[in-house]
Amino acid sequence: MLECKNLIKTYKTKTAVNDLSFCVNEGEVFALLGSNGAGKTTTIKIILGLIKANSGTVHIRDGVRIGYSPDTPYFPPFLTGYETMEYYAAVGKIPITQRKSQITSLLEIVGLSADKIKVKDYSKGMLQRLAFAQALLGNPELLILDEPTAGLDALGRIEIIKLIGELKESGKTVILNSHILSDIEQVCDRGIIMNKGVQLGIWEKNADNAGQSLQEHFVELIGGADE
Amino acid sequence: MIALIAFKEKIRRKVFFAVFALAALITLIFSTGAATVTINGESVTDYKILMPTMLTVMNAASCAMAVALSLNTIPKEYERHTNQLIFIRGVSQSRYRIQLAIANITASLVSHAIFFSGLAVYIITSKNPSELLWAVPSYMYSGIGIVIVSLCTTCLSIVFSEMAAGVISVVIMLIGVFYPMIELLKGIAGGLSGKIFKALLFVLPNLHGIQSAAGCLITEHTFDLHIMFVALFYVYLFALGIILFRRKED
Amino acid sequence: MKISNIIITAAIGIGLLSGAIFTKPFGLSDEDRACYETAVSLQYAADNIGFTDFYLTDYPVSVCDGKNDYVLISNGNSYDVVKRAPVIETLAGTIYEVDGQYEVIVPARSLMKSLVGVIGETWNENEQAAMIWHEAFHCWQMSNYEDNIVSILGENSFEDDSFGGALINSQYTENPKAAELFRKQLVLLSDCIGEKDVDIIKESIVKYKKLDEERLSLLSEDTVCLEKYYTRVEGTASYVEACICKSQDANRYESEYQSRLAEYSEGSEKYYTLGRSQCMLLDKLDSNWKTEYDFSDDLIDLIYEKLGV
Repeated sequence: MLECKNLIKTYKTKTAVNDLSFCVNEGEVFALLGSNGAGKTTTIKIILGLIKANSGTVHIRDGVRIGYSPDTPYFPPFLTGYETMEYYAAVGKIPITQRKSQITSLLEIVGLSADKIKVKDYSKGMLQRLAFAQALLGNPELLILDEPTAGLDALGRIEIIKLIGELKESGKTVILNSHILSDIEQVCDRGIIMNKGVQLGIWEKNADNAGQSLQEHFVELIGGADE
Repeated sequence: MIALIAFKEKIRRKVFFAVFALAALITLIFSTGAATVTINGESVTDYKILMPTMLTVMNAASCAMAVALSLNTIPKEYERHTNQLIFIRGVSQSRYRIQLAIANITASLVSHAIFFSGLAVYIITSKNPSELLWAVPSYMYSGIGIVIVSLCTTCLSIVFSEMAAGVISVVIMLIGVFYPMIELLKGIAGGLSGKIFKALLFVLPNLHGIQSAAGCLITEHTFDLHIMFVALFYVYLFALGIILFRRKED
Repeated sequence: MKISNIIITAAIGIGLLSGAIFTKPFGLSDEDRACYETAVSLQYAADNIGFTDFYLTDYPVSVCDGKNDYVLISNGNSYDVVKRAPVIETLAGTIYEVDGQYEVIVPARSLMKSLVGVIGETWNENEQAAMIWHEAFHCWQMSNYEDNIVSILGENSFEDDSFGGALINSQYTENPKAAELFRKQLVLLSDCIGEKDVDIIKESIVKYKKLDEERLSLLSEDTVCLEKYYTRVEGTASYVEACICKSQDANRYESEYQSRLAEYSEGSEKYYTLGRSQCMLLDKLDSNWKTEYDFSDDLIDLIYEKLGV
């Protein structure tokens, strides 16, 4: 589905992504793991084409529709959730005949009602759900989720993780950026561990990880890198 | 759709209250006779002299509002990363910026219309209702100047920081509004200063000329084609700038 | 960007640029032609003033738009327009000797509109025509009485107007009493112009003379010299301009000239008013004074002579 080769991105004196290479198979949930400043969001932006890498390539299979949920979503505050979805549906050129049914069902899926509450009155969790919902507009094959559970309460997190699992079962490919290891361990199949722009290692759910949990493996790699 | 949402966001801003208040104040001052122009020490209340003066004041206010309304649209969109959810849906950067520019222009023209309605009120209270019909084409003509200011500010906001873009826009606007004064300075100054003034006059739009031509539509019922073409060419150039200029990556 | 979009975009740009170029006014503008024709049509008003053989069409009128001079030369019932490089840079009306002949030089009306527009004023066709007549009168003065006019300044050389204005300003700043006396003199003259009784006029002029002598004693010789020059040369031209204006627009004449006879101004402008007032008073005392006046005497001396003061 997606392949990144030797990605490098530098900002003036700082190297945000340093020689990153990985591939994402169709139908899997792939994790980008790392602490703050690891280069995860930069990698996502390169994949989405929002910024250009200094070198390296990103190859996405032809015809793949992509949905994206940002880590700090901002929506026009004077719109309701429904109107916001309508806006993005129009921008994404979803046929008018399909919009209403799609929007209604997606809002239901993420647990938001199509009532008259304006976005400015949304909680952080509601904003995150709305971000998730708009990412699903147009039924994309590849979903890129940047910290989708940030700001959610425990129940909210569980629901979103469950939803990601359902998306995987429906055949969607997901790239998940998160620093919550338990969420990753629960829902992801594979992932890479990054620190300061460098890929430190790979993690696979069903592989033999020498008896280590993800957390132990993560700490070992990150701790070693810091040294 | 992008333009519509951006425009709706703009008209909710408090600056539009300021537009209404300012327009009402200017209209009140001129319509009640409180405004007088002093020429050679004598007060003049003649409509034929006050009307162009009011037009100048309204136009300057509209230009200032156009800068204020257009300045932070694009920087804010990039700052809030709202552009990301647009770009991933296949909308190109240039098309996105053009849509935001359209929102800026629409808001600026609405603000200009509010000011111009004050002029219409003055025309009526000065008992010259026959000139009201000319106010409509005059609004459209002077609106080209407002479009230029809005597009110029939008263009600059793509490349420069908000503060730098604001300062440069205001300077360009002031030079345009006080174009005859700069012409006078060009005539008086010599050497390098004269050359600088000459270069500025060549490059920057003559907003005063556009406003004067718009005023002539009302007072003399004459239409200046040349100024209109020059103004539209500036619109074209700034629109091109919006398409071609690139914003520094986040 | 698609090729078709690029072509359409380029076509729009070329179209607008072409429109701007082809609609740009070339040559002498219609409004400047109209101003000249209006000025020429006011010859009857100049004839009524009474200065001998004073004809606008005797002098080329050069309209300067900042890039070129367009010289309008009368030829019977019509005129020719000759384009040339500007002979001098000016932001106001003036005269200049070109090939042995004095020419009127005025900025184009569009330039004047821009210039006065800076201070919120307007500039119409009548004002442009009146300015042409003012300068044409200077051409007439210099063409017929150059020696007398030059001799007013004596051995002093005041080629630069701004120097003269600065000197006058500094003199009146240093001597506020002189400014006060000047104001009183202007009021006296203004009253005389409106007065019908010759005896009262004479009484006022006697007072005027005393004030004048006192005022002149406070000023330097150079300033007195300049005053004579401005009053005779510019005062009479201002009078001609006012007469032309009166024939065009009575309201403007009243507001710009008649009602401002007693108005004191800074710099040399006060002498325009002084000279104009003196001319208007001379008109009351002797309507034929202009047929003999040759600028060798002060206008006030003529008034004293007519009244026996």
